[in-house]
Amino acid sequence: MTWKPHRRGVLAGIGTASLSLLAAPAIAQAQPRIIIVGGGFGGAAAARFLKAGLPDARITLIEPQKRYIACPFSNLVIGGLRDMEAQTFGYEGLKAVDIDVVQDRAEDVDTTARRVTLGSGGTLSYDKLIMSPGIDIRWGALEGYDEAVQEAMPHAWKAGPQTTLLRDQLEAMQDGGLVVMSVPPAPFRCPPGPYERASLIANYLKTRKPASKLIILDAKDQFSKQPLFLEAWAKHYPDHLEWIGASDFGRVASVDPGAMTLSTDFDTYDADVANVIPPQKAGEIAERAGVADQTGWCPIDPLDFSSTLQPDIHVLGDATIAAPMPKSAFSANLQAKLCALQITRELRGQPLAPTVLANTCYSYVTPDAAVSITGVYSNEGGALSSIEGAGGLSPQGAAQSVRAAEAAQAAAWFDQITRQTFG
Amino acid sequence: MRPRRRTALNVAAALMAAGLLAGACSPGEESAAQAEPSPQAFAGDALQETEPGELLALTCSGCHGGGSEAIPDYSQFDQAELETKLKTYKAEMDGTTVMHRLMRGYSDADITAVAAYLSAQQGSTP
Repeated sequence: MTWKPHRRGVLAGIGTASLSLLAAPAIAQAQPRIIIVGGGFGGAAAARFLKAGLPDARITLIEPQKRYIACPFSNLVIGGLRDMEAQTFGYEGLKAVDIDVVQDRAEDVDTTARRVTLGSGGTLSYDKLIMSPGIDIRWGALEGYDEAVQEAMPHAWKAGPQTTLLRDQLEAMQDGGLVVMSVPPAPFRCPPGPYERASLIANYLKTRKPASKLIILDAKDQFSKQPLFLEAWAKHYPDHLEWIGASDFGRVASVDPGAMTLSTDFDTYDADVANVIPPQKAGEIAERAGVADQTGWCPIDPLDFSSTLQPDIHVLGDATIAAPMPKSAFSANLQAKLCALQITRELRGQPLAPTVLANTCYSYVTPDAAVSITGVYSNEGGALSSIEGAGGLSPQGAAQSVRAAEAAQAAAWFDQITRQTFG
Repeated sequence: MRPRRRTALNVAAALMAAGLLAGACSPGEESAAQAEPSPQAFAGDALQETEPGELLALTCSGCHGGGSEAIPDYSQFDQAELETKLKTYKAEMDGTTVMHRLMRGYSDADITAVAAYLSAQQGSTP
């Protein structure tokens, strides 16, 4: 017997006299053991919302980093507009509500015994496991880009030391230098992220190193918020940013960190600073737990983000196959809340129902102008689908007041989602 | 053979048999008081159908609730005001904000449900 049948009302056959004994608080007292792997926008939010819904559950968050460095807004750090401290969050807010925070690495998952093995060698048993492992780099998937190369050619696609490294390299670069960014094919974390970063690097070059230039070499011809970015680039950075799409042979085929070159099928670019955003996959623990498929990402049932490959495991955030819902912090946080509510309802014997979900992502195009993309999704029928006629981009050609309003909203969003996730 | 998984039901039954459930209190209120701001305790009661507003409202708190000027809190609006505002966003086809684009994905019934849920959560008159 699994917990799943509760969706369809396992309690239906029990007489009303018994039902009155099984009031919600009684079921909530069952102390289920819930383990969450990964303390980002998915995992930390899941822990907090599960604790709110199931105060007597034993909730354990496994996360190796003492402090979480947020990816959203880290492009502002790279652009010299923000300090890393503003990106940094601790787990005090989780510990304060009696969530057990284990600062260790989840090494393996035994899905039969329902046990997580820690880097320290210990094990933890679960009734429910929630995995929000983010992404890992597919080292070697881009020829020449293995783990050692990330020092010479930072990806900065996991916020932290890589973010600082890329910022430092930009600061150290002589005026007149060439910055080259490589963008992989989809799917990857934060679809508009490369183009926001390019905007803010171009802003830095324009204002501080005006003889310098950024070239984006892209494996795609279409990208997120494309008309809005192209409009902003033409307006603000005509001399400092050039985007080369796949049709113009923008796809990088290999890199050489010794020579500091990036090669497409037709050209080789000599970079003074190279930001290689490499191909990605779900965080490696997903593969070891058997929740990732042959694509490297994790299929889920969008009703509650339960794994379709393993029982009693839910997967959240960038690691999942949730398209058209993007790999964003907003998505991860919302998926966490949905998963937590559905698990809460399931444990209380309540049926699960589909709903409408949405995503909003802002991108800065200058220090005081931002653009947004939104999507609205149904999770009915086993797959996420976009609701037609809804969502979409900020208007093209809008006044600076519209862009400035969205920049202010972006900042307010960051404050709210980090407060909600980390306390 | 895989070990038999516990269910919420049989764990609760076992605890009851062991007499461990005396003094069980309301789970929601306790946790809501522990941190400020904290996640809202989920409001559902056992055996009720899913409250559609509760699920729909999960999205709202990704942006709203921080008390900023740029993104208003909905706590300042009662149910009727919320419903009117959300339906206005949906109807204004030339609107420039994310809310205009988002609300077009919600039915009038969704909007009524989410307005009712949000206003009930903050204790204003439904």
